[in-house]
Amino acid sequence: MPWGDRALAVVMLAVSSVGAYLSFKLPFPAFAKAAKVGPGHFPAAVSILMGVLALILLIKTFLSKPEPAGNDGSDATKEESSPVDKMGRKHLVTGFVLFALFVFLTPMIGFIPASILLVISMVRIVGAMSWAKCGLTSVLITGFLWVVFVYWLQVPLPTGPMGV
Amino acid sequence: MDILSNLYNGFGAALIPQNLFFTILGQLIGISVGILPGINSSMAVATLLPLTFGLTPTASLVLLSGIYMGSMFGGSITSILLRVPGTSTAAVICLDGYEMTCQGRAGCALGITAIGSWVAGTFSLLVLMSVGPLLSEYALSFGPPEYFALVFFGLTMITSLGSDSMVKGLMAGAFGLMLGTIGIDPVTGVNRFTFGQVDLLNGVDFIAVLIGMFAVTQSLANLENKPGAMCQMGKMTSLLPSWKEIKESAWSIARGSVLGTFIGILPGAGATTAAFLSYSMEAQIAKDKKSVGKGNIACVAGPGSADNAASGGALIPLFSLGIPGSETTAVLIGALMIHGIRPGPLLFTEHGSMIWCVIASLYIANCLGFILATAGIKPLTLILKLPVAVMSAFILVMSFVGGYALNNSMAEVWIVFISGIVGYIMKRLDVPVAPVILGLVLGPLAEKSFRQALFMSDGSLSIFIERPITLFFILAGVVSLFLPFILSKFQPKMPDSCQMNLEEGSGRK
Repeated sequence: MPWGDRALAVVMLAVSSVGAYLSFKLPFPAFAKAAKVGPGHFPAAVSILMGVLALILLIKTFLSKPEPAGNDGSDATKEESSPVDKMGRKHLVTGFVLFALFVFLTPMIGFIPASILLVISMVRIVGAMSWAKCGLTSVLITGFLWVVFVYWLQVPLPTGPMGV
Repeated sequence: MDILSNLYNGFGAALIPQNLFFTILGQLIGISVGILPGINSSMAVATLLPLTFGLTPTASLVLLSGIYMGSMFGGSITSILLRVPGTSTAAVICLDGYEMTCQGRAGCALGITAIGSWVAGTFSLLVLMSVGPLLSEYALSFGPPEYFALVFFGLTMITSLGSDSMVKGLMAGAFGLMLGTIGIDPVTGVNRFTFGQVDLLNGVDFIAVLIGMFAVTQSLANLENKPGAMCQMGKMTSLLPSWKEIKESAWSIARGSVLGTFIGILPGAGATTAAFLSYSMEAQIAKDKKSVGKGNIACVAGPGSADNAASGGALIPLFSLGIPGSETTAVLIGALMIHGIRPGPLLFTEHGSMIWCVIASLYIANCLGFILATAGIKPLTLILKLPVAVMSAFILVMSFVGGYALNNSMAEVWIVFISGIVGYIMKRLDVPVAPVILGLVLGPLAEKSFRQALFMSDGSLSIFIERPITLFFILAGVVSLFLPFILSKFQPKMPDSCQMNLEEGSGRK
């Protein structure tokens, strides 16, 4: 996956450059000078190491020969248009969006309604189960976690306007 | 005699109903987790970590170590029955194990793995009992330079953490080290990379990162997975191998146990390496070389024992030095720290009764695993029928709750969320996740010890070569850096179908 690796190398180069710049800007209190290593040295060294590795990866992506069709990464290309693959991608996006909404909504509407909504939607869309099964699954999962965390472990999970 | 009396007391504590309950529960969860493809022991331990907040340190450690040990055997069940390695450690077992299933010898393969796991587990626990306290006594003389050298040695395992590309592995490790520097500098009190966020002052919680990168990432990846076409499972006969087959495998089990324990102790290797090396060894010394890869029982018994032995072996440096030998033991360090227990040389002296209780519980769990394996494999495999959507929804909600419970705040939940996305991208780009966790856990300790040592020597680096223990670990670290290159020469070539499953499966355990 040379393009993926190339993008990764570029992102990591950027992260390491910012990291190194911020590290060198960190203050070095006088009392700590005996050790000769201040708060910025370790992160700076790590950033530089990361940058060098990202550079090596970038060079490798340009030097490596393109993989022959049908091998390895090209499997993805081969199956790019297959319905199973498309379905997988749809499920992934659904899972990601639902989880993002769940994290975003829970502090607003409370854990119990948010969890029930997440489980029902995911099991319905991805699992294609009947509404009755979706409802039952969501109640079982939410109920189990609520009993374990709130009732047993006393973790104050976020509650919404209805107090749940 | 000390060992025996300590063990006697340990069994006394382990047989208390509460501890016994968590031992059984841990083993059951471990086997179930091992069976589930795509869910590994480190992810299970990380996800279930919040469940142990309300427990005593002993009960929590008994539960989590039980999961760890149990998952090793569980992983081989799906390898043998379905050619889907439930764990990466069991990947190599699918080579001959599945062939045995196709020949109608599934019961024999499962039985010999169960026996091997039990023998290997017992052996590694015996080594843990005898060498653990000695090692920790020796380690008592450790100062900041020794700690730095030790942590450096632990960090070098980044190079062998399950990736084809060493550059990517090292880059992930560096990223973890970088994340570990966020927060207040422990030596000078200077704020580093907090960008004005109060929630970041205490640093990035590695458990939140762990839950995100393992649990969230894996459940997203599971949603994406397409249903694989499975071969028809051969008819399962009895669950136990014949006496002749046990005799055939005895030496393989013995070799696997010794090799696995030794590899497990090394922070540079782990259960996956142990299983692969054991397979390689069995394949090389097999009398009938043609049967290798076609249902050779020794090639199932050896790796099946080695992974269990390695998991016991990995507990030795964890309990005596505080150094994780694998991903899961890194999470176990977190479990100890949550309960205010600092893993390290003082663990055996300060919390001796707890450790001996855990050792005794692990032994009970080991025996229990054997009984479960021979009696309840069929019902356990029913978990495989749980729909992916239900499993993923459960893991995602659980990850949210797990992150939230860390500090009763949404900040950790957002770390879980972001880590999940980053972890997924890393997975797609074949960047191993384990080095990030290792860097994040060990990095701060390495930096602190390094700077403390330099305070001791007025800034002279010679302190790291003047002290014998320090020099030893630094040299060992350098050797361990090159270990993957050497090991790769001995790894067996896997058939494409199995290689695919391995890539789809989890990282190192």
